[in-house]
Amino acid sequence: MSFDLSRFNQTFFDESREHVRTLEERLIELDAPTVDAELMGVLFRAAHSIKGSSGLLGFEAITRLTHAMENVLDGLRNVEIKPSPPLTTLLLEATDMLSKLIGYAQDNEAAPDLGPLCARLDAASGSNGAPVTSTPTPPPVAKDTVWHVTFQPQPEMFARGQDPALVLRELVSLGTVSEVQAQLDALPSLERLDPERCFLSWRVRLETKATEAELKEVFAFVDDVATVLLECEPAALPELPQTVEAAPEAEKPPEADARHGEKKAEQTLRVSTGKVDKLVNLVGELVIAQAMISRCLADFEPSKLSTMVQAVADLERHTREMQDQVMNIRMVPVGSIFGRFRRLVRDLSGSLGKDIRLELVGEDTEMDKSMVEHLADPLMHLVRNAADHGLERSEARVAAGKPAHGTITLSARHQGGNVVVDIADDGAGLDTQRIFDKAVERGLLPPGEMPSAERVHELIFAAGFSTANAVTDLSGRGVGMDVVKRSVDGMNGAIAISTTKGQGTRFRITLPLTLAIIDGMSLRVGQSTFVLPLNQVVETLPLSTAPVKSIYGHGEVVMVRGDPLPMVRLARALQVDDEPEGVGRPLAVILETGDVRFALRVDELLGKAQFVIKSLEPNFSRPDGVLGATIMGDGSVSLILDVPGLARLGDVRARSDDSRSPGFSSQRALPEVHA
Amino acid sequence: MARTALVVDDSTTMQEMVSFTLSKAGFDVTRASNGQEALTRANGQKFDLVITDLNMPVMDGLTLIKSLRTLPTFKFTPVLMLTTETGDDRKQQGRAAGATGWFTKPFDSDKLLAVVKKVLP
Repeated sequence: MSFDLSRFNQTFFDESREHVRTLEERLIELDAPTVDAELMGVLFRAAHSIKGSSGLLGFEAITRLTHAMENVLDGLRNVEIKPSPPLTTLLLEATDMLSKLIGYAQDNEAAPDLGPLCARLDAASGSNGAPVTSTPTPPPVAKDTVWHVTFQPQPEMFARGQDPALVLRELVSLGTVSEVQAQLDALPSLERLDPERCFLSWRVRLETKATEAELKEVFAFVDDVATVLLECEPAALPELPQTVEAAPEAEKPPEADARHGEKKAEQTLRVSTGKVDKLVNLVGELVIAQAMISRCLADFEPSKLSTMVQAVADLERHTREMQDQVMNIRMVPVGSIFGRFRRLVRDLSGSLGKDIRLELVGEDTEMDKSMVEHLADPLMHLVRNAADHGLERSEARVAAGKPAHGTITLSARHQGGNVVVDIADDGAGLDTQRIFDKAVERGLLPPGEMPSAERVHELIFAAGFSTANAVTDLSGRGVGMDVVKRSVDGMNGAIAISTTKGQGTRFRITLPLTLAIIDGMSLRVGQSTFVLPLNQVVETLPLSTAPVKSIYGHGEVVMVRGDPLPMVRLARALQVDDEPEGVGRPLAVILETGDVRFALRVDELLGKAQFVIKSLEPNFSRPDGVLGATIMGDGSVSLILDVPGLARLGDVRARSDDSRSPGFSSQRALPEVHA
Repeated sequence: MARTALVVDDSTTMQEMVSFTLSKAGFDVTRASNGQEALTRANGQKFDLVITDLNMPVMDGLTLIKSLRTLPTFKFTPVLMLTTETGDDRKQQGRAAGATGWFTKPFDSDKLLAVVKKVLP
């Protein structure tokens, strides 16, 4: 029952990538003064596991490289080789190559020459390289021989899951049995018999072509819990050594045909079995609930209404749970990308000549897999920036009375329905004056009086803005922060800066848990229904209790507990009709996004629910203020509102510390960051 | 009723190969990626066969086998360990822990089924 092994290729690629990630993340720990056995076990296992599977699937280059890596790691594990930074660098280099090899294997491309790299690894491990390959020797053809086999199990044999009957059956299958004797001498009387112990033994006369080795193989699993005697009948001729033409194993084509024309690798997601089990359970519950409804409907009469209502309620509950679980499947710990920054920071430390440490907090925080992937690039930019621009050189740090090594902290946590990711450094902080000068130079701000520090800091998100005096190979390419901002916006998130001169800078990225479903509040304006993301709703007030004032040149404000908040009329922002003044009871929904807080005037709130976001992009260019569309319970389509977009439409400005202004302006001073 | 098998390996590729082979041979296969996970499964269900890797994170195969043998439902269950060519002392340790037999990697589906046949009717 052999089968084509190439069916396991995808699993192998996925698994190997995970191992590569482990290597990338943890090899760095070899630089620590003490290396524990657990780390060595993990590293060795990663290389070993890839080697094993790749050998089987015929990815020779991968086998060769992992074999060389494994030797080094084995040497380290057995303390035969001493860890050193150059060795770590070599292993990291090998890991990079391994990652490439997996890509080549996946795309059916030829592997590059591994000779020099493997030679360096082999030199490091002091081994001669080439994996040990055992050439199978064909068994010599034998003549029929008569054997007397004695098989005497020890009483404890059963406790190892052994079954003497199976052993006998296998023995019998090798040839012809002319005689079997069961020895009952050791069998105790029935009342003293312990059925969990074995008291029988056997003698078998077997005529077979099998060799002694093959006979021994029958007893391989029991030879330590049974006495086995193999006696050859004297009449039998001694086996003549025979020379057999060793037929070379037919060269297997390396599954090239099977893989040929295979489409590009599918995206896969590894899910813990526990999560799948929960889902399976829930499906069971759903089926039961659905069956109840069907039965109820089959011969429906009014008296069954309460049963029906109950069944529908169950169905609803299970569907909801199911939805939660399905979303949960897509949730992966953010640590899966945090880890790769250890390597980045190590490399940056080297190339920048700064002593930088990375601290990771909240690596277990889970978020949607696609979000995690989208987050990787922005984080990469921010960490690079922190290392390059944020942290000072050691001399400057010491002069400022700070520790010589700089620290970058990456942290993640859940907060309400959001994930908050912070990238903080303990460097010099943003230089407001320099950013202002640069902004003026670039024509982003008019010269003269400097606006508030926050406003100035936000300019670093403007396209093409860079303050690096010299262009380094890391950042300072003039792209970066604007790309970061765009990525975060694209995830329906927000990014904020806080910085203290001399103490450091922190970028805070706030993201929804998932891209696909939002908790929302549905509302009505005139005849149209809209949905607002609930996580940006602060509160709602009937406008009858909150006075609205008009400020000349600034539009309307609504007074909330004595404080003025800019008010946006949804109807006006989206150019739909609302109910005329005096009709109905309009409400103000107080919204907050990033640093902006404002009130949205709507006609009626309809309720809270979860909404599946359907993208508009394939068919329309997304209008400002609209995030996407969703299908409502009654089948109609509603637009999901984009709060930052609404703020832009309503010309609402970030709150500043300046108490003279209620936090809005009729005219934009900030440049448009979005393209 | 289909026979049941518990396959324990931290390598997904190996896990899949063993599981696939066994399910082709009519087994109802449950998978686990380390000893701890396997033990959790074993506490709720009886299996006709257990196949486990030895070198695994969280809980290794030897500890798993020892723990299984303390469970009444696994006292006499055939337990096979996955070993490598060079794993002779591991084999002995495995037997001492209560393993029924072993399957030597590299993987070969026919070889695996032959070994299973040695320990399961």
